[in-house]
Amino acid sequence: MLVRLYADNYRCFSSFTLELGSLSVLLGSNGSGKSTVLGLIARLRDFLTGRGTSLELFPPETLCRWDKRFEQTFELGVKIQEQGEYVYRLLVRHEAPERGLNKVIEETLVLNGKPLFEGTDQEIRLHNDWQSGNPVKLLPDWHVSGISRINERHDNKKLTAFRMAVANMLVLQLNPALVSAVAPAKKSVEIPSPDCSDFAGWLRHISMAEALVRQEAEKSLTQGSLPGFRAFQAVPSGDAEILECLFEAKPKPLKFRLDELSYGQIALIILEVAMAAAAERGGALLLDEPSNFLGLSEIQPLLIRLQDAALEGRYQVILTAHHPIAVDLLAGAYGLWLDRDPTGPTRVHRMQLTDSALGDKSTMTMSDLMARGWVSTLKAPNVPAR
Amino acid sequence: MARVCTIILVCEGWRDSAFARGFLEMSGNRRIYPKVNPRGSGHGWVKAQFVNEIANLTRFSEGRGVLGLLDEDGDSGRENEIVIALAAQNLGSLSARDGRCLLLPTRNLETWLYWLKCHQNGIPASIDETTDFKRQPPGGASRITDRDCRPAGEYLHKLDHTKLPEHCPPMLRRGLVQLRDFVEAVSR
Repeated sequence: MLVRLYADNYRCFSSFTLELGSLSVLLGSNGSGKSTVLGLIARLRDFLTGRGTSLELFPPETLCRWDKRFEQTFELGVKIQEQGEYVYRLLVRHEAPERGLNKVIEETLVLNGKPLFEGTDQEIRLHNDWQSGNPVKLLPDWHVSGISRINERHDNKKLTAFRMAVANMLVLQLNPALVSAVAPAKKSVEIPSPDCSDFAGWLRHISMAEALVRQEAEKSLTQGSLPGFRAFQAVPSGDAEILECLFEAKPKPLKFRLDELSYGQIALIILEVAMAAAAERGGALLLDEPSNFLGLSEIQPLLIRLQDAALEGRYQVILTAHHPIAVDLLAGAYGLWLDRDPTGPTRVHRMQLTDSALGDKSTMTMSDLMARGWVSTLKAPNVPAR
Repeated sequence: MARVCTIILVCEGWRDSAFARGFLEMSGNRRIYPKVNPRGSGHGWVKAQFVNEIANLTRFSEGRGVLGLLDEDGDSGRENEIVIALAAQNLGSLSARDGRCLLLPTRNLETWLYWLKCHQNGIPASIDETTDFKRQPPGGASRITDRDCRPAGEYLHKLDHTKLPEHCPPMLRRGLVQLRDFVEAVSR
C-alpha cells in the first residue's frame, strides 16, 4: 500500500507530503494539484519499472516555475504486509535545463530503516535481503532507474517485491475519446497509459497473462453494470486485432467496435477491467474523476464497490473527485483537501465533517459547503492518515 | 437503460451497509441504494431518513422496500419512536412483510458480527447484548474488522431461522425472520 508521497520542486509541489490510507479521496479546486498527484505516481512507477527515462518523465517543464533550484526530490512510502515499510527516494538534477538534460544523482531504497539499494551518479551499492556481507557494486545509468535494471534473484526478493508493488499501481485518467479499438500485434501493453488509449492492447495482454481478470470483468459487466453486454471478442485485422463488444440481441448478438460505444460505456468497461485487475493483483487503483462520463445512477454503485474493496483490504483506492455524490459519500471520512493559491505551492488538509464543526442542526452536506467554497470548517488539523 | 434501485438501505455507517448488502445480494437483490450517514453514527439521522424513505415509497412506484439498520445502544424505545413518526404522517405501520424493515441490534451491530463469525467458525460464543463488542472483544478475541461485515451478512443468509442455537442473540434471531419477510416482500 502506498502510504506516503513526497515531492519537492515538481510542478505545484514544494516540500509537499501526502499521507494516504486504504481509501483516500483527493478534493480541491481546479488547479489545486489533484491530477498532478496521480500523474506523478504514474511517472515514478514508470521510472521504477523501466518504462521511461528521467529525461522523458522529468523534463525541465516539470520544475516549479517559481523555484530557482534545479534539483527535484521524490519519495514514496510503501507498506507491504510481509516485509514492512519501504522508503524510496529519487533525486534528479537538471544540469542543462535549456537543453532538456538532467541526471539521477541519488536513488535509494530503504526497508525498515535498512538500505537495500543505494545509488548515486558515481556508483550503485546493491544489498542482499539480509543486508549481510559486502554490497554488490554496479555502474549507474544517469537517466534510468537502477532498481528497474535489477534482475530478480533468490537474494533480492525484498527489492523486487517493492518493484512489483509499484508496478501494480494502476493509474487511470480516462479519456474515452482517445480510446482505440485497435491492438497492434507487436506491442504488448502490460501497464496501460493513464488515458487508456491503449486499452485494447492491455485487454489482449490480460487475456493471455491474467485470464481470470478478463473473466471477472466480463462477469461483472454481464451481471448488470453494462446492460446488454455479453462478451469481448478480438477480431484479427492485418497485423492487429480489433476489440469488439458483443451485446445481447435476437436472433444473434450485435457486435460493436470498442470505439463505436458511447464514452460512458467505454468508461464503464475500462473501470470494470481495472477493478478486476486491481483485485487480482492486490495493488492500488488510482482513478482521476471516475464519475466523469457515467450516468447518475451508475456513480454511487461504482463508488460503493471501490469503498468495499478498499475497506475489505482487496486493494487500495485513491480517487480525485468533484462530483457531489462522491463528495457526500466519501469525503467526510476519507477526504483530503488540496489547497493552492494560483501561483503558489499545494498544501493538504484532512477533511472532517462533524456535528461539533457544523452544529448538529445543520442540514448542510459536504457538497453544499464545497459548492459555496465554505470549506474552512472542514479542514482538520494535521491528522495522520488512516 | 438506467439502473433502477428497488431497495433503499438506510444506516449509520459503512459497516451496517456492508452487512445488509451481504445478505441482500446473497438473496439476489443487487439493486440497492444505500444511504449512509455522512457524519458517521447518529440514530436521529437514521430515524428521520428511514421515515422519509417510507414516505418516498408511497410516492414513487419504482421503490419496493426500505431497510433500516439502527443500533439500539440499550435504548429500547427507538423502534417505538419510528412507529409514532410513521403514524403521525399517516404512513401506516412498520412491517417487513410490507417492505418496511428495521433491524435493531440491542447493543450494536458488532454483537451480531461477532456471534456470526464465531458460529461460522464453530467456536462457542458467549454473547450478551449489553457488552459493547465494538470496543471490547470478549476473552481476548480479535476485534471485528471491516473485512468481517459483508461475509457476516452473506453467512446469515445461509442460516435457517428455525434452527438457530439458543445462544443466538434474540434480536438477531428476530432480524433474520424480518429479513426473510422483507426479501419476499420486495420480490413480489
